[in-house]
Amino acid sequence: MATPTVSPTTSAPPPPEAATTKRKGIRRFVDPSLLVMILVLLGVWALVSRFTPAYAVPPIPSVAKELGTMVTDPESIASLFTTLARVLVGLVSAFFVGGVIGVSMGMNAAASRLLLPPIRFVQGIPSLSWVIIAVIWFADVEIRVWFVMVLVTLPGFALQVYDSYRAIPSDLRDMARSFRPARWSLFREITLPAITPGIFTAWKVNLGLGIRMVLIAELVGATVGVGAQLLTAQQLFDMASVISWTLLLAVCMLVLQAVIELIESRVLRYRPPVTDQRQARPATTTPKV
Amino acid sequence: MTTQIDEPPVIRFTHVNKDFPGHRALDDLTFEISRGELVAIVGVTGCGKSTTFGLTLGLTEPTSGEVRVSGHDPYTEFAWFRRRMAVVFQDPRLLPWRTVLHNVYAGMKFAGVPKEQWDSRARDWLTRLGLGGKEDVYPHTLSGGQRQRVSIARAFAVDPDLILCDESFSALDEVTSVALRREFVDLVRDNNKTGVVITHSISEALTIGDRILVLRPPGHLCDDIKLPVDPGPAELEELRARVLSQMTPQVGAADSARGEA
Repeated sequence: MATPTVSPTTSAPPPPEAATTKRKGIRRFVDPSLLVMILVLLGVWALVSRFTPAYAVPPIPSVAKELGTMVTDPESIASLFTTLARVLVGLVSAFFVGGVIGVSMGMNAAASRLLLPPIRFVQGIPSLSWVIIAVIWFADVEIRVWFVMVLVTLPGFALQVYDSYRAIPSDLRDMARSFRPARWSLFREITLPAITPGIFTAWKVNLGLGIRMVLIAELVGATVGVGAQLLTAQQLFDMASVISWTLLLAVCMLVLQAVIELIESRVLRYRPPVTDQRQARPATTTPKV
Repeated sequence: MTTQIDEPPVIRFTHVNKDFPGHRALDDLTFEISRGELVAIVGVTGCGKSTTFGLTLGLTEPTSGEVRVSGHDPYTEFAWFRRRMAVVFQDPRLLPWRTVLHNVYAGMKFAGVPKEQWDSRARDWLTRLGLGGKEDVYPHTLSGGQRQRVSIARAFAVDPDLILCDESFSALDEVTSVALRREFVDLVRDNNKTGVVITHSISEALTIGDRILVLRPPGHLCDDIKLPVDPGPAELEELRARVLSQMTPQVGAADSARGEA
């Protein structure tokens, strides 16, 4: 079995420097243009609030005070976490059911023919219709919210997984099949890694959708949750509270998005770095006439 | 060549026909390949090389006739060929989400090699193919030649009886292609494997095989050439002309006419 060791004749060129350059200092964490935009918005808000009543545009200090109260008030924190828990439970349920449906449709043409039309039909139903249907069908608030969340986000998961499955290169499948793999090995080594980027995309899209939907669902009948708190604030014309809850929820969503992106960057670390096309483009010269 | 008397051929095609809608891909194809042989199947585009490859792999079944690999039907007894057959494809088909080492693991995992053997076998083959130190990098950081080496390591790590190559060296530059071809031939011979190389390149067929099977559209065998050991330049040129004339009779006829004139 003695075989000569042969050195590779060629090696890949190193990636362009622009692709690997990292931002330094505070710019690693905050995009300067975003910081400027936030400062401009705050300036406009401060200016407008000087000339409008507080129930329409409250001054920044009163909103800041309201925010401070919220993050230290156990009842408010409970409302926030209840809403976030409803979002996550709904999304996880929709992900598992949608994922199974998506993979089944990808693996089996008959399942695709059977399931694709109802999935597309469900996707076409307005979210508000599901809220009304849930109110009529279910007395329990938790079930109502869960039902709405699942029905609204499930088609996104199912279709994204289905499309990712269909995009798996047949070359890879044939390669694997040439070794005569067990079904589970094929799923674990080819199918699952190939559909994972699509799953992350679906999560990022559905997270925003889920947070918007849970508020609408909570407006109807819930006594705990950000939606219920917003309804109370609206009835009291308490604009500072409305803005504070909205900001708090937006920040939570940004944090959750960041967590998903962090997991995504870890799981998909095999992907080559994105090169900045502006830097990669060769310099062009305009001919002088 | 290590052919043994009474041992059944590793590959046997008996009057195989394969029809696709609108055309015949293989027409009464009959040949045998014995254990330990390294055979090149050569022909122009559309001559049935890939169909022959697919039938040998068991990815498709013949319309009529019989295909046997080690005495078994590769289509109906698909699972029997686990660990008995491996393929090096034209493009390396590496899993982009796995490191070089785990790509070699993947082949063994698919083939059902016991897990405790994966690491030693994978590292051994990667080292033999000059990829020691590249175990933990991802495929996109490798050159085309290195990627193809990984796919060769993946095939050999399974320790199959039969190795099939489908135009495996044609997408590489000339220098890398020649070096890899030489390595492949050495690996097949040193490890006592049976090798079948599908190619459209006559020079590749002449440098690789013990035998050359020449196919001509629509998929029938028009020549079966046993290559001499270490042929000289004149002999090689003669063989090249013979293969070319069989692959494309009109070119061969024109050359003959020019020679006679």
